[in-house]
Amino acid sequence: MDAVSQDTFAVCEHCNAINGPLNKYCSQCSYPIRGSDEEKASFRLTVSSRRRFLGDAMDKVKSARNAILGLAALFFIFGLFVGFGMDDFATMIVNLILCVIYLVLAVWCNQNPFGAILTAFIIYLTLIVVNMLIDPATLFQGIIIKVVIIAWLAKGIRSAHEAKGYLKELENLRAVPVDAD
Amino acid sequence: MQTNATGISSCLGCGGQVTPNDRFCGTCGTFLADDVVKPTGDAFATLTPSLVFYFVTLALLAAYKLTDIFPTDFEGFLGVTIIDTLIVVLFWIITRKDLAPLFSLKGIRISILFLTIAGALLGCLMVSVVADFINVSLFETTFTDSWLFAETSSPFLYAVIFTCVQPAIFEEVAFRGFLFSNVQQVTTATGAVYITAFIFGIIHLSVISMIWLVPLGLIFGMLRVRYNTIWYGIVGHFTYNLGFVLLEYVQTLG
Repeated sequence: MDAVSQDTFAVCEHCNAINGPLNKYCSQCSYPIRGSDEEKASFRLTVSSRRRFLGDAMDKVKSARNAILGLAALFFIFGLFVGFGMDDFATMIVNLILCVIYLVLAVWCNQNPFGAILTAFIIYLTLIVVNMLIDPATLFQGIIIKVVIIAWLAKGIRSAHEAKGYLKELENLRAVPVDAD
Repeated sequence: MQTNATGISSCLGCGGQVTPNDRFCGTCGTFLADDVVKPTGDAFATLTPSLVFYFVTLALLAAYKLTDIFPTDFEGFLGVTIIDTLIVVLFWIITRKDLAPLFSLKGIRISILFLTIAGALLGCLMVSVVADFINVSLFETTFTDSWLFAETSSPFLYAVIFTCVQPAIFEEVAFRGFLFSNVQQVTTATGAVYITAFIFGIIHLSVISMIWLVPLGLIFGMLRVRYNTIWYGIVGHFTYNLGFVLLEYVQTLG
């Protein structure tokens, strides 16, 4: 019995699925169970490169989340400054609400990074447009920081989107990274 | 995957035999699932229509509210409303095939419609109390734009058309219609509910009012996902806005 199953069935080295006698590729993960060493190496390379891409994308997502937290801190500090420094309590309340919104987005970033960073990005651009129309001079105040933040968040949106693609691809190859979150 | 009468399937790529439990073809390694991985593509490329709509509308509304480009009387308001409506109609026409199922009257339940109306009125009462408190204590401004219609032949009718009917239809078609469908291409339905609720809130250009506009957008978005119709949103939005017009009408009478 053992000898027969050795000849006809093959356990996949990659995902441990049992495959029929005719399969060159594993029917569950597409690992080339009866392929050449080159083909096996190529499969492993695909998996490891996708894991690396996923890791890189997740790093950029975490970085964008830090940008959102940084913006929350900026709104908080600016709010307190105009409130208690310049007695402008209406502007203070507006900035404190923005601070809370960005904190909510940073928390939501753990569940849906793409949605949270996209929302933070749109709200930030909206604030720049609104301030520019109220006072055109504000557009150029801290313009470098503004451009950096916009590029930072845009990178995060792209990376969050790509990360979903890599994760899906790894799931299909039955190779979900253990530390994926 | 092709399945013949005897239940044995064959791979579309190479014709090799596959069983229903197989995820890949054993002969050629082709992925067999029907829902082939969505091409990831660039997120911004997919979202271009939404971003164009949002920033064009933002530029229009912000120019009206924050600059002197448009006159502040009824004619200025009318001009902005017409341009805003035309932008929505343009996107509505482009996406009409995707949006058509949302307008189906089949499956509309009177009980949910009634709950939506009751909820909208309750929400309106709660928000008017909060908004009155915030506006009086912080900004000393009035809340609604009814003075715009004071000069017209029928202020109440104009207020209903321009602050209830127009927003209920065109804001819902935009935020729970084509923006929602577009955003849903790159995230989950729940993600789309939250994203559209936030941008629905911020485009009103008042950070304070996001306190009630974001939850309002969340409720309309959830109704759209749950029942796959835009009608509850339209009716709820109309009732909610009508509540404010009626409240103000009653206040001016008293």
